[in-house]
Amino acid sequence: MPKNKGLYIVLGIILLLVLGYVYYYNSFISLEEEINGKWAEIENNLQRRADLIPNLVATVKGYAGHEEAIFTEIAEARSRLLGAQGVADKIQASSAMESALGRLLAVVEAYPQLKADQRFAELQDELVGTENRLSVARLRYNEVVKTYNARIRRLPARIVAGMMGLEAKEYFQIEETAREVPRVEF
Amino acid sequence: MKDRPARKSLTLSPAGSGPSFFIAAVFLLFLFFLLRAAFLLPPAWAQDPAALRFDDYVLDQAGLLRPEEKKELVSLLADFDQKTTNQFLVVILPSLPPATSLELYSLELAEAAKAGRAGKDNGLLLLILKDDRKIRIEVGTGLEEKITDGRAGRVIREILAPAFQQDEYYQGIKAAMHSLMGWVDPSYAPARAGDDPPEEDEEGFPFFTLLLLVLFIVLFSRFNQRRFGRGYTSTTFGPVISRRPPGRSGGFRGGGGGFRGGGASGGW
Repeated sequence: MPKNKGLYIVLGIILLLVLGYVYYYNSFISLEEEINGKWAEIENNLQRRADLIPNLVATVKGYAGHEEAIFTEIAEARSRLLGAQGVADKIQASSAMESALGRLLAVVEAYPQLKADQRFAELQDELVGTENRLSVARLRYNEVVKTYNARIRRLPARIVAGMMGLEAKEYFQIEETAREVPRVEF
Repeated sequence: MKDRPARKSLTLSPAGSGPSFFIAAVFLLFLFFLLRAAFLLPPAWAQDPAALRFDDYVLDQAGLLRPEEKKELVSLLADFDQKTTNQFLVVILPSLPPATSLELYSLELAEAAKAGRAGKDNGLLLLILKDDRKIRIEVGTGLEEKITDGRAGRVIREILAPAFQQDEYYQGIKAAMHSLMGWVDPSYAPARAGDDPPEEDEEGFPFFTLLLLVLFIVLFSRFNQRRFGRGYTSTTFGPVISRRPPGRSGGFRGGGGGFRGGGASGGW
């Protein structure tokens, strides 16, 4: 009788351990899935921004054709962004793009006729809207990453995370300079 | 020295009840971690700075609209909601709370109000900050194709801002809403000057009746869906109108639509 009891206890503990493992395993998988989803949203917006730029540049060129420097800078930043692979690379390229765009919009300030152009105003709305969507996507991405990073480091979960070989994920941070510029005043 | 025997008796006494105590302890510990994990996930989103109650389609905390004007707007928006399920809200506040941006705040408001239907994400929130003289149109994810950022920006620049500059708040909001509704459902498009030439109206008589017919059919099928499908209101079986408590024409109830920062900002 006491022998049996000991067996049950051991079995019970093993069962609990297995259940715990499964629970954490599943929660990590779904968190990772969520992070992937949020990242995809960021990529969508990066792509959308890249798609908007040729139109915007063409419109600006019509009024301010001699501002060559800014156009080449934008073109370079854009091709870099489109060619970027992986999270870290994309984050870097994105902030370069942001500061280039900020400079473009600053240039625009000097051309009142351009600012009065309805087509340009709408393109600018689209661009600012995309920037805003991007920053929302970034915020939501960082939020999930924060949860994830905290959870894989907390103790019982940490063992499971170690067994799964999970590592802390990178936040999508932006440089303060890049953050300031693209705000457009109306 | 003194507490040593006491401690001994403490560790000994539960040992009497044996390993079941141990199992219970392990189980409790496990439960504790489970629950803790559940509690550790508060969406930072949820702590909304605005303790606003969204129980109507128009929320005017700055006294910009006269009561009868507000009523008119509410019935326009409530009607639009009932017929097309798109939930458009107007929120008027005195000013922006400190340490936030117009875009962030309006997103938080829109999410708190849950404008739009879940899955369709067809909500819209027009935020007006009276003293800051700022405007934002927050467009639900599902409406972004129809109300693009450019169109929303145009509504602000060409309808709202000029009207507000002349203190014609009601007229401006109403025209803006009609214009925005028109992008979603052409039968609501206003016969307005300045935007698109209203030529279609002349030859559009049969077209209009056809639209009305289609609208009726859509409405009817939706009505049936609402009765027999997975209804989203608690009183699924009453006719649509009696869902609202009498005396209050609006009675907004957020459907759980999602937002992701689409729309446009401006000022006057």
